[in-house]
This record gives sequence, structure tokens and C-alpha cells, in this order.
Amino acid sequence: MSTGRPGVSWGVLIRVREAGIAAVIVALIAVFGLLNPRFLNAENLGAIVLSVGILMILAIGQMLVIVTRNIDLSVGSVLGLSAMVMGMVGRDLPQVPIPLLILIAMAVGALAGALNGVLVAVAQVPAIIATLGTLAIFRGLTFLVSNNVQVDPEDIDDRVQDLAAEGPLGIPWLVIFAIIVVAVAWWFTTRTMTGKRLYAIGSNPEAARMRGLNVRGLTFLVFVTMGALAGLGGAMYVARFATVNPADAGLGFELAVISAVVIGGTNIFGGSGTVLGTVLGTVLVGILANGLTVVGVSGFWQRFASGAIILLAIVADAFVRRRIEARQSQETTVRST
Amino acid sequence: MVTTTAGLGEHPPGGEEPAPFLSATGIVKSFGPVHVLRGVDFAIRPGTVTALVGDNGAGKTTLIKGLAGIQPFDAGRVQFEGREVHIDSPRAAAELGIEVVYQDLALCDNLDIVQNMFLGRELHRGVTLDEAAMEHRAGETLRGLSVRTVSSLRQQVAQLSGGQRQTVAIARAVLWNRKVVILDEPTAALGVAQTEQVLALVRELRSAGLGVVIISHNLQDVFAVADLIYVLYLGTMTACLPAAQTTPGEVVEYITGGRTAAQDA
Repeated sequence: MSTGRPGVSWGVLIRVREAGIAAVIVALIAVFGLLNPRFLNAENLGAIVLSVGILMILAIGQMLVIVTRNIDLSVGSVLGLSAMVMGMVGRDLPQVPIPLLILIAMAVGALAGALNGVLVAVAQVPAIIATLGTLAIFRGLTFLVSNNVQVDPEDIDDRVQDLAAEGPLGIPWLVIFAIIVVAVAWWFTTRTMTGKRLYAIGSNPEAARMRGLNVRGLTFLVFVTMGALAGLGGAMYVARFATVNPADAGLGFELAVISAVVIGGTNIFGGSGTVLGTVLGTVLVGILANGLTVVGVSGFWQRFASGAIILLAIVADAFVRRRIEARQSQETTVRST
Repeated sequence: MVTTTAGLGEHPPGGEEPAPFLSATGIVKSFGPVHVLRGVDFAIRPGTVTALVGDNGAGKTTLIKGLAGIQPFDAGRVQFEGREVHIDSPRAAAELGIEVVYQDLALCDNLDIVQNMFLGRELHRGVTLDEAAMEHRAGETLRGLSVRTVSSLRQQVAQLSGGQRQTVAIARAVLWNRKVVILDEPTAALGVAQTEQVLALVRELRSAGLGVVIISHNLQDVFAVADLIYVLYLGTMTACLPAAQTTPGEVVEYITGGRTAAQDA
């Protein structure tokens, strides 16, 4: 019986995968930079950092959801709804302090997430169906509360807009928030009991239940967290774009978010995924979207490219997994002699 | 005649048996019109390996699911360490100290060995996990069971062989100080060497004083480790045979209903 077996372990493989994503990112930067030097100027890089920041806040939440073998398709609508509520409160009640505005956006998001959580964890509706429904519901609510009137830039406090431009050491608050979310999520998923249990739930829900884990409670918690993060993303959206249009804010955002998570190596069937991978996946998606625009690729082909990249990521993932399984069954046979 | 190897002869002959951890008497369980268990008596003793054999549909799984708290019995008494108990949930079974290792093992593939062994009872300081302490105790437990086939405690369970997975699932029972470990077909999917590993582990559990129940279709494995062999036939316990004093042939006769306790007595 062999010990200390050589060869690829999952941990190493995930790291190899993360190195692969990093390599693709570098290659994309080089290609876009060559095609259009404007891609590399400070202004454009700043724009990339800001869009990646918002995407990252949501992608981290989505990673947690997917790790538990669920998915949240409503994140774009939740972002839109919370951005709208925050924009309207800021417009109609100018005396409300900025931190409270952000908290309001997060609370709206958390409430929306709680509805998703109840549907999935309590009513046991499959997440893909439940959140497909709430995707439409929250978008509808955004039209209803706003009466289909957008919040204009002149109605948004300059100090709100500054969140996407200024901050400590010259780093915009938007970026600081994204960094905090990433750091807390990293600590949560690698160091805490609750964080680790999310992986157990996604890996084998039946086993998790038999071990006494509160599967429903944790699932609910994950959806509420996702909602609050989508709310924070909504607040950052208001800061960055200084406009909230009910038909537009966060529309289709779920696709970018889920792409980022899947490209980052999170298994769509739950049980595995890392914060580092998600960060890299988000950067890749952000650079791709920006770069394709800067080099003049049309909107249609941009969508085509991002779709193709998700498929590529999933196919590559399935391929690698199958290779590993084949190797394992082979080794098991050999070693049992 | 096949050789009969009674488990190392450690088990004292009838008469001076230790008081059972668990004794069930008159157990009845029906599913609608189907009477699966018709007044079954069963006991699990410390430091003893008890085999539960019987053909498909004899009621083995139903008996085990009742003791595990998954499907409570309709009638009958269950005593644990002399105390009357009602095992009405898996949690109740766990609190008494009963661990069931199911055929599908209920392991989380994406977690490593340590995480699987501690899942649901993690050691922690505040909200953060005490990984070092968990790894240390998991290693101690595996060494205590003379397990040397696992190269790293931080391997994901998905990477392990069938025998290693079985080892992790069984070691978990020891780690959590269980008194009774019920193994459902522990060797069904294993090769020769891995089966031997698992049987060695069963003997370790016995020397540690646990009450071990092994459900198996493989009489060779049963005779390799069991002290006592209980035979279920169509919902009735037709025999309780000391392994040292019986033969596979005789057990097969009981399993197939060619022989019953009544004829015997």
C-alpha cells in the first residue's frame, strides 16, 4: 500500500488553475494594450478597477451561494432595487447621512435576499426557479417604487458620487469596500466553522444533515448575505454612475457575476470554490468587458465572447475533473493489490 | 467444510458475557400491510463483534434504521446500558453513543479527512476553527486504530480509495467516543487487501471495548471477525450463534430458512 502518493492533488490543481486564470489575465492585458494603447492609460485602468470592484462585491456573495449547491439569479435586480431605493431616499431626504444611505441599500438587499432564502431554505423551491421568479419580482418592484422615473445625477449628493472617486490614501471607497468584502470572505471561508460548513452542505447535503448541521439555517444565511452584498453593490452603483434608471440598473448583471464565479473555478454543483479564484475570475471578466469595448468590438460580439468564455471555463473544468477521476480509479485498482 | 475462524477467541464463552450496551426485545415494525420485523430480540455487547446476517428483505436494514433513529419501531423495548430509551431521531442515537456507518458512507467529498471526521463537532476557539488541534486528534485517533494507509490528513476524501474512505468513516465513531458502531456492508465494494484493512479496523474497535455490529452478505468476512452471528429470516430472529461453535454451512441454512430455531431446540 503506497503512501505519499505522487502526482496531482486537488489543492495543487486548484492553484494551477488559479495560475492559469492569472496567465490569461496577463495575456488579455497585453493583447488589448497592443490593439489599443488607450486600454492601458490611467483613466481606463481606473474605470476597470471601479467596475471590477462592484462586480467583485457581488461575485463573492454568489460564490458562497454556489458553494452551498444553490444559485442566485436575482442579484442584478436586487442591485437595481437597492440602488433605486438609496437614490430616491438621498433625493427626497437630503439630510440622511451617507453611511446611513449605504446601510439602507444593504438592508433593502438583505430583505430581498431573505425572501430568496425563505423560498429556497424553507419552502424548498429549487434556487434556480425561486431566484428566476424574484429576478422578475425585484425588477418589477424597482419600476413600482420609482414610478418608472429615474434618479438623475443632480439629485445624487456629490459626497455619494465621491465614494467612487475618493477615499483614504486616494483609494476610492468603492475599492476599499470591495477589498474589505474579499478579506472578510477569505477569513470566513478558510478559518471559521460556519464558513467550512457551507462547503459540507454543498458537497453532501444529506451527510451534512446527518451530522447535525443546520442546513436550512445556513442556506438562509447565505442568501441574506448575498442580498446584503448586492445592496452594497447597488450603493456603489449609485456612487459610480450617479444615475439610477429602473430599466437599466443592474440589468443582466447576474450573467457577469456568475461568469466571474464559474471562471474562478467554483464548481457549479457546489462544494468547492475559493475567494482567490473568484477574485481572479472577476478581474478576468472585468478586463474582458472593458477591453472588448476599448478595441471596438460590437456589443453583440461582446456578449458572444463572454458566453463562450463561460462555456470554455465549464468545459475545461469538467475535462480536468474527469481526468482526475479516471486517474483515481486507476490508482485505486493498482493500490488495492 | 470451510474453515471457521472465530475472532481470536477473545470472546468469553456464553454465561459470562458482559452486560449488553444495547438490548432490544420484541421489536415490531410494519410498513402498511408488510410486517418487516415480527418481535425481534437483539443485543449489542461491549468488546464484541456481532454479525447480523439474513437474505435480502429479511429486515436487517429496518432493524438498523430503527436503532439509528431514522425509522422508529412500532413496538418493542430498547434498553441502553440498562436504561429504557426511545431512539426517535438520529440525534438521539448519537447522544446515546450509537454511530452508524452507512454503505454510502455519508462523507463530504470536497472536505479533507480532518474536516470530515469533525464535521458537526468542530473544535474551535471563538468563531475560528482550531485546525491544529483537530488535525492532532484526528491523527492520534487514526494511529490508535493502527491506520497507516493514509498519507496526509489534509487529503480530500474524494481522493481516497474505498477502504480508506471506510476507515475515515469508522475512525469518526472512535473519535467521537461512540460505544456502539454499526457497519452496514462495510466490505461490499472493496478489494481483498482493503477488506482485510477494514476487518483489522473492526478488530481494533473490539479491543477498544466498543460494541460492533457488522451487516454483511459475505460469510467469509463475518466468520473472520464476528463473535456472535444473529440470523434474521423473514422478520424473525431465527438464530444467535457463537461464531466459534458454528459453520458457514449452518449459517446458510438459517439464512435460507432451511433450518429454524424451533427445529434446533
